[in-house]
Amino acid sequence: MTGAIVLLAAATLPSGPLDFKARDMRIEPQERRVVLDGDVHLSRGDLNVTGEHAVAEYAKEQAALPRRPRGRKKEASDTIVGGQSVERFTVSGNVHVQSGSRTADGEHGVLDSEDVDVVRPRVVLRRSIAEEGQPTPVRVEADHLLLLQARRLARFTDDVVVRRGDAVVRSPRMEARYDGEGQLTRLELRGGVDVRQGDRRATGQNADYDAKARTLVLAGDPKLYDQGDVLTGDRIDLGLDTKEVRVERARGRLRPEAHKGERGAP
Amino acid sequence: MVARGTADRLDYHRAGARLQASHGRGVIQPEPGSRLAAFGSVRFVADRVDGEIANRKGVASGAVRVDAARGDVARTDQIFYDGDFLRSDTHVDAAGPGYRVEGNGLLARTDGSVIQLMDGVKGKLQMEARP
Repeated sequence: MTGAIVLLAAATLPSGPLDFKARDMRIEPQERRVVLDGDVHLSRGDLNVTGEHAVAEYAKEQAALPRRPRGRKKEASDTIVGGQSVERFTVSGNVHVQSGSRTADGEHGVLDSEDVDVVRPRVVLRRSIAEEGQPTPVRVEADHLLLLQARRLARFTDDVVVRRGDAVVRSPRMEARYDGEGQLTRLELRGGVDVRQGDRRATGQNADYDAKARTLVLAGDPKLYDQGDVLTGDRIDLGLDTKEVRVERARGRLRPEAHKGERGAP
Repeated sequence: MVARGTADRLDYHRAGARLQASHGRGVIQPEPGSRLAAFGSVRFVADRVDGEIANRKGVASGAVRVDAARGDVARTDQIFYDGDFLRSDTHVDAAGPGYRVEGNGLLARTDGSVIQLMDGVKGKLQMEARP
């Protein structure tokens, strides 16, 4: 599936009941679940989730039904806040999650009262401000995504692949952080990072991407390989747009003849 | 399962145990331990009830309302009973602990194991609040 997306990490799930629409609904009291089938649409505040199939699982322990004060008539809302509440929703089949202008697609998603869990997500992380001209989307694929909404954090794990322009970054795990406006601020890649951009390749144990500065900082035995040049140091900063490289406490081997004919070369 | 009821007027035909009731009211007491027992006793009212007890068939129509002791309430205009199933092809409104839903049809097993609303459903489900 190709879904262009943006995360919804910034906002916590609004409180209150979750609205749903579907073709059919099956209530299975013994299994303590409700199954929705066909064009499933779930919404809560500005959070909207669509898919082909959804299962709502009820909490095992029933909350005590609040006693209605004597004399007060039963209201419609009394039935909805009653003794059973959904612990989590699992949505499958072309799952699309949208929160305001931010969206995410995946094969499978789990919603509980705070977090959203997406299997095989394909996400585009956008930063709409402080970027000149058309913002370059950061596309992310992974086997698993957990949105920790209260912490404004998206945690990708297992075969994380990040694509931004002509740069491709691979790592076992990555966390994306957001500010209060839902703008991407930082990506933190851990557990071994491999960066490829055109002819150059860089590796390191960790990498941090600053979304505002658009630089990727490699640390943990970082190395840069570029047309025969090999650079290493304590830290390597890669400008993804400018293609500039800064190496702290640098060591390396440069082969000027490999760069003949390049713009700016002697 | 035991069902008891009253009506403003009841015509009973002994052959086939057929009955016609106007403004019928009834209560079903599920067997303890049965799946339906999770709902508690189930009360129902309808403007008109036609039934063939021997064939386990019937239809209730006109302001049909079903109330379960657990807190579930369902309303529809017509509902058919056929042995193990209840079926409605008209608009159904239901609410209960943690949910409210409306649909354009209903199919339910009389043992309470499955209740299905069909042909376009919408409603609300209560999400568990985190401490």
